[in-house]
Amino acid sequence: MYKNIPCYFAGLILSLSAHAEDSISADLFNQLQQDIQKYSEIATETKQNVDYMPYVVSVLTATELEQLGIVTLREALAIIPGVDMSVGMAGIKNPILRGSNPYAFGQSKLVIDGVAVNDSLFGGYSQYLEMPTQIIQRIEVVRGPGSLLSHVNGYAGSIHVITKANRDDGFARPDDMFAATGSHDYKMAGFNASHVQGDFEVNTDLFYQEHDLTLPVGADLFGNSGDTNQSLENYHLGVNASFENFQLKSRFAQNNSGVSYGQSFSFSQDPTDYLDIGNNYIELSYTFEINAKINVIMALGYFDENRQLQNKMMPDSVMLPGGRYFLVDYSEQTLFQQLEFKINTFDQHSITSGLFLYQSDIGDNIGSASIDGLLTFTTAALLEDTDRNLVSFYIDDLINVSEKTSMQVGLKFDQYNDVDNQLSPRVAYVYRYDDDNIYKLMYTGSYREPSWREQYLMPQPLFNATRDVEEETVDAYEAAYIHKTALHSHIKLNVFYLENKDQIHAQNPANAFDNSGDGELYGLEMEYKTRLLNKDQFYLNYSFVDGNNVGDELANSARNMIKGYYIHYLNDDFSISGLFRYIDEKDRPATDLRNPVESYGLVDVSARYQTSKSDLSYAFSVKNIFNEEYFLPSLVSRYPGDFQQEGRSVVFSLKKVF
Amino acid sequence: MIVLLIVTVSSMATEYDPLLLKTQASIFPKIILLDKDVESKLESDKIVISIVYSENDFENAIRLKNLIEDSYKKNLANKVLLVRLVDFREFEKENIATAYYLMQGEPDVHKSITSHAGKNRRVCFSYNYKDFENNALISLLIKEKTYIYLNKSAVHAYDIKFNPMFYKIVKVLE
Repeated sequence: MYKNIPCYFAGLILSLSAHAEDSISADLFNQLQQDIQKYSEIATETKQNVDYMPYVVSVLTATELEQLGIVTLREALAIIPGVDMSVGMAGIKNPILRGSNPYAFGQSKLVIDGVAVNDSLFGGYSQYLEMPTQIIQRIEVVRGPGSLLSHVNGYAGSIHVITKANRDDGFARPDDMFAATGSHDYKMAGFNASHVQGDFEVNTDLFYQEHDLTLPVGADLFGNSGDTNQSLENYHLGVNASFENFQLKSRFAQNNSGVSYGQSFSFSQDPTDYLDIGNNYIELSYTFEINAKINVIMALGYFDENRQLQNKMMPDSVMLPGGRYFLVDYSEQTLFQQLEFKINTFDQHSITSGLFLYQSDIGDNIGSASIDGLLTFTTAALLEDTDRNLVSFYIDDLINVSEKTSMQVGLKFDQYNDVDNQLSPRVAYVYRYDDDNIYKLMYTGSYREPSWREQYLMPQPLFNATRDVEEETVDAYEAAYIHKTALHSHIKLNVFYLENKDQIHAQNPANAFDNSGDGELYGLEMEYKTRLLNKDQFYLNYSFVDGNNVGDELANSARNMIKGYYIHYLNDDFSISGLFRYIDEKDRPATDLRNPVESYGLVDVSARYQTSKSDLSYAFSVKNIFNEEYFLPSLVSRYPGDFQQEGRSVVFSLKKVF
Repeated sequence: MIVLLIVTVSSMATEYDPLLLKTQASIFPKIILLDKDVESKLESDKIVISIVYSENDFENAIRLKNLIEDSYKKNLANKVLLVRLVDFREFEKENIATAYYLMQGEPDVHKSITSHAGKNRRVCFSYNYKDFENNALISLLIKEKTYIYLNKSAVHAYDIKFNPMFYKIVKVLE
């Protein structure tokens, strides 16, 4: 018996040892599973695995933007396939995606750090387009309806900007300072800074920029021509903070500019005319877990916008004695609330469901006119006094059916107080034949609610509104194929067919915004990205669109666009790049008998040097190096000669990372 | 001009996805512990990972080393974790590590390293799963989920017995 004791203890020790090993292994196994889950979530959040997911998304990273010398968000969007730019009243720039209704501002949604910043007045976001890329970590552009956020309804597309203050890829947020100068007395400076103390973290960005650009324009409807004031003074303060389960996101922005081609497309002879737009948003959210597989986010947010405009719309010779000035003092406030559940209870399902509410109201609402050189004014309401309330319920399920297939099924129901309720479905399917060949099929229904200008504008000299205008809707059918030629190289092809109904524009004799019939758009987009000579990057995209967006015409939209860039690294510190865009000619609406807007090609070149030791980088860019003279379309009745755009310009910038 | 281009090209780093590097830095060291015979592969009771890089990738190799060290603070399951940087050109077969990590590089060089790792029954990870063609044993790819890939055709050559739990989370590539 005693002989067996050592054996017994040895057995016990071995057993305990094996048990301990099993315990360690189980612990390791759990840690590995957590890692896999964590990095899968980061990849999905940051769209790094987007090729394998049921979306068609273009992603631009801060690194690419820096290497290419891209200065603003507007410039960055210009290299996305299918994206063109138009000019609206007072020089407002408006991205056009896939030729979709180029006369409406809210065709796409702009989402900054998860907060949609389209206003109610125009439905647009043009004042954010000059945001410098130095504060941007990543830009994600969803081409086509829908959005990467379940509660945001993009119509022709949605643009998601992730600022460095909201960096979400798990890496540290380095502090930096940046400055730039260039043509047209361009000056810009700012910083990104973070501070972490225990559970408290605050991340900020601040920038200021200005320039005094003027652009020549031909005769307007009164026969006046000259240099239009496109000057800009623009600053933002972004503050994102978190403490335990609370998160704060905010941005305070001011955008003061010249009136460009005028509020009603007439040449202003008063150099003091201005369009000042202030935007602020703040969102406070609280996140908690019901259990390990159900997360809840509660958010409360506030968005406001104020606009002040002074524009001499008629010259002295037309309106005696002092011409006719038009002034606007307008503000709107929006309060929004969100309750969202992220549910991973069911295997392979990732469900997002929630309730989103907003109430938008008009504050200041004054349109004034003066015909005696701003001595006396007649005032009236700019818009019919109104508000807009939305109750939105959404549910979205991303199902990883197997390693080869994923599906996304979503439904969004929106109830408005002043337009029809809307149901927006989405079904998407992705088949991963293998790691290198991915096929996608997608259907998305979406809509664009009329802006307040389109629905509530009081009678104005140029445009009129229609009170019972309804949403324009779209049914989008898309198919995509991705072939990954290497780990970091790919060919992408997608075809689309869009059925647009009840499009809203004012291309009619009364210049009244109204539902103006249906249209269909179809086309394709191709992208090729590869690495040459080790680290060099070559990117090329081609987009084609045809169909009709105004009557039977494809108006103000280029059928063919080719864009691309090449980044060559002379060594790890020094790179040079070339970026080009070819934009095909643009047809006019049937009632506009002018020749099509001519095609054009633009080439930008940049050089960037980064000292590894001091983390100081210098960049020099020449934009439109061949000084191509090119135009964007105008209204025939106002500026028959179209809008000439900027010629050659230079930018020098530097950045110091701490 | 062509000579200048060749000279500049030959001194350039290849591209690395920061998230993929970070994910691998977090996951790969844990996999070493799932080798049932890991105790016999320690060096002076230390777990040693040799990151084998080409001259051009020195900066990226340092980045990966820092990522691993940041994740583990030089301690893996109560063992000292040592991360070594080894230039392909200075690779010494006598200096055996617990595991190897292949950055991007020439197939012939990679084959010689995987052959060395296999003969010594040491895990050989690779940044790019396409290096399975050069007999790397384990890699990782982020798709709709994060997949740990195991090279089936190389399993026999390495003759490493992993804890059965490993096979629950790994995807075997034919």
